[in-house]
Parts: sequence; structure tokens; C-alpha cells
Amino acid sequence: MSMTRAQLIVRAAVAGGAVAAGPLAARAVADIKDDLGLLEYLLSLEYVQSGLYRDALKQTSLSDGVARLVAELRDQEVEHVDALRATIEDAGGRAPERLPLDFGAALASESAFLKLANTLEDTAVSAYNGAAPRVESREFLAIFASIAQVEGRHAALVRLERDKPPAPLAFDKASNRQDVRTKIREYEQR
Amino acid sequence: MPTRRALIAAATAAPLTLAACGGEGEDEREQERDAADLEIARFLLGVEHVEAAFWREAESRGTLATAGAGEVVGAFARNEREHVTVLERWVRKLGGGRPRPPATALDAIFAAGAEEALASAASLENLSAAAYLGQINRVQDRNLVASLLAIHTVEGRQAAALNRIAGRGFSVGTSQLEGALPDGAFAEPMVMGDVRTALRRYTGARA
Repeated sequence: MSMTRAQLIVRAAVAGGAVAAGPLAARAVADIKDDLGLLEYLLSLEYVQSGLYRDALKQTSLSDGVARLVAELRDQEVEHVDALRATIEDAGGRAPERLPLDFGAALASESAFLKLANTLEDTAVSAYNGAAPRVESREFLAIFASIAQVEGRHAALVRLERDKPPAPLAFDKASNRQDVRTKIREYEQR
Repeated sequence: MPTRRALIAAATAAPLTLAACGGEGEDEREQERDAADLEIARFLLGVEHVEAAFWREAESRGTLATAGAGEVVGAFARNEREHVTVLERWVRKLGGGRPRPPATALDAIFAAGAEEALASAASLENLSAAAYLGQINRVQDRNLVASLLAIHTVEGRQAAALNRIAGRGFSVGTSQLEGALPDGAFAEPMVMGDVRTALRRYTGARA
């Protein structure tokens, strides 16, 4: 797979900072290490999202329109996975392994699948909105915000398929790591 | 690609600004940070004023209902009003006065019919989402970052929904302001100047 846009952004920004900022670059490296925990937990969430779409396309009877949407969402979540993994590795970290997933009854019907997809997309929006203000790195903030907007778009499109309001609140929520982990843990096979 | 360069520039500009003023007093640095944040809050408030005016018109005229967007008009109008309220608070907190909402020129948009008005609404929401994304990582105050993020993803939701309802498909690929999803998995920012230029369609302002 070719280098993703996020990788390009991170590499260009880190490289530019190292040349232009001198001691500032050393501080940025320390900050990046502090941010790795956030990246790792967001990657775990992206694993679950991309896994849900992958499994639904294989196991769930989907209408043509929903199947087209799900394929699009799967591709974008896979790109997020690739970008976060590469970013963690670029920053000197080690990306967590992908755990086996089991979505159980959520794959039994289109409506059950869409309900879980809705929950996970809304969770992703709140996860990125909770993590982004806490990162030290401006480069990571830019990437988190960019992905957060895409997750918001995903959430709206899934909600439309469910005849639910696409933007029910004027302000999206922000969740902490513990809240998000609780929501995805039941699908991870440890 | 200009938008990606803009994102890189925005991402690297803030730390360099801080480094450049390292020898000054803390009060002066705080004033500089507040001034930079105030400019951003004012700019985004201007975008929100245009959106709020658009949705106020949409509500009163009822035009979008015939294009299939009737169910979202009330909620989106309410959302934009609340965004205006919060950004006005931020502008005051950062030491700014109450800016006058920009003039809008929406008659021609709504007179063109429901489909055209819906397309304009979808583009306006994409423009707003891109405007926020262009500013978020320039902001110094972490609480303001959190506020802008909470609004920004709502703009993304509204943009995706309207583009979908308008039948534009996922990623159109011809313009950043069209499509329910970006061309790729990462949303693209727009810098202030580009946003102001694109807003002229709704404000009637001349170059």
C-alpha cells in the first residue's frame, strides 16, 4: 500500500521541524513519546471499526446501498489503521497487535449491524475529540482532527441509513480512554 | 497539493512562533497567544454567522423540504445558532468585542430552486468543516481547541448528510466542497483566505 496522507504529513512536519527548530525538535521527540499512548488506544479502536466492516461485508446480508457504504467506510478505516500504525512506528513506538474480533449477534442482520456501526462511529468521534486536545504534538493534533471529522461524516451516513438524525447535538461529546476501551472490549477476543 | 501544504504549514507555524518569543515575559506571551486565538475565534464566528443566516432562511422559506432535507433543517439551524453563541462567548473571553454578523446574499441561492439550494447548503457545510480543520491546530488554548473540535465534527456530520441527501455520492473528486466523504480517509483543511473567497458565494462580498 502506498504511503498515506497522514504519514506524509507527519514525516514532512517532523523533518521540517528537525531542520528549522533545533532544540525544539528534541522537545518534540519527547512530546511525541508522551503521545504514543493515545495513538495506541486510538489504533485499537480503528482495528475494531475496520474489523466490523470487513466482517459485515462477508457475513451480513446487506442491501446494495448499504454494502456500497460499508465498503467505502471499511476502506477509510483501513487507511486510518495504516496511518496510525505508521505514525507510531515513525515516532519510535511499537504498534499494538490486532486482536481477534467477535461481533456476535450484531452481524445477524443489517439493522443490528447498522446499530453497532452507529455506536462505534459515534464512539470514534468522541474518542478523537477527547484525545486531540491532550496531545502535545501539533502534527498529531492535525491528524486527529482530520480523522475526527471523517469519523463524524461516517457517523452521519450510518445514522441516515437508520433514519436517525445525522447531527443530533450541536456539540459532539469527548470521551476518555477508559470509556472507549469499555465500549470496544466486548468485541475483542483476549 | 495546496491544502496539504497548508496543513503542514499550520502544524509547524505554532511551535516556531513560541520559540521566537522565548525571551519575553510570560504576560506578553500570554497576550500574544490570546491575540492569535482571538483572530481565529472571530474568523470562525464569521463563518458560523453565515451558516446561521443560511439555515434561518432555509427554515423560514421551507425550500429544502421539497429536496428531501426537510427533516434536518430545524436541527441544523439550531446547531448553528448554538455554535454562534459559544463562539461569541469565546471572542468576549479573549478580549474581543461583539462582532457584527457579515452581510449575506442568499436570495439568489434560494430563488434557484430546492435542488440548487440544497447543493449550496451541502457546499457551505463542507466549507465550514474545512475552515475549522484549517485552524484547530493553530489554537493555543486547549479549552478552545476542545470547543472547536466539538463543533468541527458536527459540521462534518452536517456536510456528509447534506451531500448524501443531495445525491452527490461519497467523494466527488472535482472539488473539496462537494461530496459526503473526502477523497481519501483524511479530511482536508482550508486556510482563511480560501475560506473567505469561497464564502463570497453566500455573502455577496466582492474581491
